[in-house]
Amino acid sequence: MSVDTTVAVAKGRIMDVFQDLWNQAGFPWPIHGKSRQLWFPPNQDRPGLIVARARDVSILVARGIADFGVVGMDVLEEYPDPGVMRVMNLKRAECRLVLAGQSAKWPEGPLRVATKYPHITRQFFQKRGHPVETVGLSGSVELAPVIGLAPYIVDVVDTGQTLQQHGLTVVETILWSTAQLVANPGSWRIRESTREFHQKLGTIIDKKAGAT
Amino acid sequence: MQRWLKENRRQYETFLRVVNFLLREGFDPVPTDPLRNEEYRTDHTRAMVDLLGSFPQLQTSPPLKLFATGPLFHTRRSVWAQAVDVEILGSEGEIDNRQLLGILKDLVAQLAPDLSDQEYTMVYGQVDWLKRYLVAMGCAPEDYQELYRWLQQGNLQAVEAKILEYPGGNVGLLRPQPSEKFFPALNASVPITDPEGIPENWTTLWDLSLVGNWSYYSGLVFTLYHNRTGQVLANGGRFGIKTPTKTFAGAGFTIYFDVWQEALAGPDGYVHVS
Repeated sequence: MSVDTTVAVAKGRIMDVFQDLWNQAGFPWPIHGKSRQLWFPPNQDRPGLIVARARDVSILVARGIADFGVVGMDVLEEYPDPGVMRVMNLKRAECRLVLAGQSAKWPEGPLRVATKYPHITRQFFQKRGHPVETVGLSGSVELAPVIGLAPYIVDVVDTGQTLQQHGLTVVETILWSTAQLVANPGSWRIRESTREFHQKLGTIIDKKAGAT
Repeated sequence: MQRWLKENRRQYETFLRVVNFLLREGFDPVPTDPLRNEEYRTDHTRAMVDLLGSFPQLQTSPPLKLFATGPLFHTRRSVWAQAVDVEILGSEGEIDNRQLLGILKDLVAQLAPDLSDQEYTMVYGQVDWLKRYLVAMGCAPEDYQELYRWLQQGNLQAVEAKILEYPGGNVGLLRPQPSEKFFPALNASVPITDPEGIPENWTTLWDLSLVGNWSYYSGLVFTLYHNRTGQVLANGGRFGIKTPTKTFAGAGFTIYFDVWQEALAGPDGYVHVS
């Protein structure tokens, strides 16, 4: 069942939680040890798996390379792609996207924000009618206030430990994010095997939700 | 290089076949500008009605039959893709779904004479039925716009979660179903007197989560998928577009040449012509 389906999964924390779901669905996880292999074609025991960078997952799904993608809601909101359908909240890999600074006070006047999420940040401040300049960074965002690049940051927070270590405090939560299952619209609509895979994951998610 | 040139020639011949077919069927070409309002062209239909709106008088009977060719820009992928857009413009009652879908069927035969009907699946949606269905489920009319926007953005999960909050909410019609299951289920919530007179030229599914790419769609919408690649070969629907001077009712579709090439290509990426 579902073995002609291919899933592109974002490497990192999302992949760790997805491995658990995959195993519960009865499929053997194809990545062993420290393998650097990124493409595991489907076989008779399990669907195919592609390990990808988070922001590439939607592209692989929209182009039909993968039937499904597993990626965080934060990434989907930052890089919206109408070429994919969000078909399930996997309710795992929870984290939040926050505005943080050296004090919890809402900023006064025009401000500069360092972030990996310039699109979400601009939308957030636009809704508040607050002028903002974003500084796009690709990592170590929490350093920005410490080294004087920008007094505020917008970044993903899991436990809050990294913020604390850099003397930063959450000002406001912008978005609660969880892992999302996205589908190629064509595959979703015309392939029975795609919807079977979705149903299988849905049963596991619902069972877990019912148990908690 | 010879192979590449031969392939280009074949693609161009296919393109000419499509254009000649449309000319023979009485469609008039409309040149649209690749740059519109300082943005790259992403849609021919809107550009065509803007041009037509600049004329004081429109020929409305019989309906205007038009087509436009040229690449469309995919913003997310930052690529241009070759497309042909076919439109029938006129008053609402004049446009027959069967006529439009018949033209699509004939064009498919021009594009891919060697592919059988089993290689395609046609999925239909209906924007007006979706609205009535959601309202019947308990959706407040003012919430409809938000649910519709989510569907346009592909956020089915958010729409389903919202519907399941309504007492008796049921998401079944937002999943693809064959006509024989879809219409009884739809009629249980929303009585439909006219099932749109759709010819079932290919494997046909109905799915109210299909709302089309553009907010001007007002009734039937459709997407023709290629079964092997899962890609969109053509899509379109009925629409109403307001320009500053006129309102246009019509129906049409876009066929995507690049996707057709992928559908027709062998494992080496080339189309083998006998």
